[in-house]
Amino acid sequence: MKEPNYILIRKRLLQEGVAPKHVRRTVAELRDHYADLHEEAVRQGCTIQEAARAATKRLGSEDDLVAEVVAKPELRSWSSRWPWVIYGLGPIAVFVLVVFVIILITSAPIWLERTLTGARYIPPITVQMGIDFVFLGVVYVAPLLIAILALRIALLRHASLTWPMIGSIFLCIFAGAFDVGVHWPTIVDGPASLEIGFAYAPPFPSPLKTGLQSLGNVTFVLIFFFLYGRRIEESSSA
Amino acid sequence: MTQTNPPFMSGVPELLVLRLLARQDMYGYELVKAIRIATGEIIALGEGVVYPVLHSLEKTGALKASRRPVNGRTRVYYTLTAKGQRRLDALTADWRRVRGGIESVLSFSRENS
Repeated sequence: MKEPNYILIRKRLLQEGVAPKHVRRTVAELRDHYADLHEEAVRQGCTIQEAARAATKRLGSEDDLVAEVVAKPELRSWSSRWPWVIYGLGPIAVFVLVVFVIILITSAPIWLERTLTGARYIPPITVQMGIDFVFLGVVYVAPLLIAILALRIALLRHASLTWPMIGSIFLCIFAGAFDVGVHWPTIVDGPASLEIGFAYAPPFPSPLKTGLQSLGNVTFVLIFFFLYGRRIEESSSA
Repeated sequence: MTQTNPPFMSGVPELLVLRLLARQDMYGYELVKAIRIATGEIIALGEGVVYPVLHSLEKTGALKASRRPVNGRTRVYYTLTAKGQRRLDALTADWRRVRGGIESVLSFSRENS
């Protein structure tokens, strides 16, 4: 009788929705426990093979070990208890948070300058170009990275991919219609502005561009998933 | 004859684990061994299945875990918390009530048989 297959136990526990930190602890403690049982049997005079058989028998079968952990719902992860929240709404919530943080970071200097110092500094054009570049990244790159990250997390946890796919595609479509930018003043006492646009709302500007961008986002994420998805999942089982 | 984890044992592992950890901190292997010895081998928990019980109790705040060196290796020791002590007191009271009720039924049955 061989030592329990800890890799299989780990994979089955993750597939059943047990939180990764409990899976890690359980597998580590089972390994230690097996080592103690093996040592006890050897001290009692068993051969190495006899000790291995005795230790495995006493530790319990892989089915029993997995069943007992799974029977404790409080050990399940949030993503397995509420997948529609974590994977369905999570990506878009993260995207909105990223947008909010970037707006804060790029707007704060203007506010600080105007409110605290009363200065009327007009930054060079390169600063506005830098801010525009950051928002290009927010609109075009961040959604793809967030969608890919959500899928990667689900794959590493051997989770069902239904909600991660729905959430990622929803984010890709949403982000394709989204635009945001902060503009610093270009003249003394001139206005600063924050522009937020959503092309799926009336008057539906540029429907073709919006549709193509959304489609492009979805295609990119799906290509990533089909090219690398299995590799990521297998690396988690190693 | 002992049976590992029979159906009517629901809740008993938790009571035993908390009671033994109230005496001293232990890690999983020590705890399973202590249960066997303390119950005179009448109750024998499946060795590996003690860990979900421990993790569940830790999650509810009844236990605290810490890594300590044991003979050149490290093991995860479990300590009873104040919340765990209250949980133990409640489980002990429940168990004594249940035991009293069962004993009443058994003595009633003997008198009337």
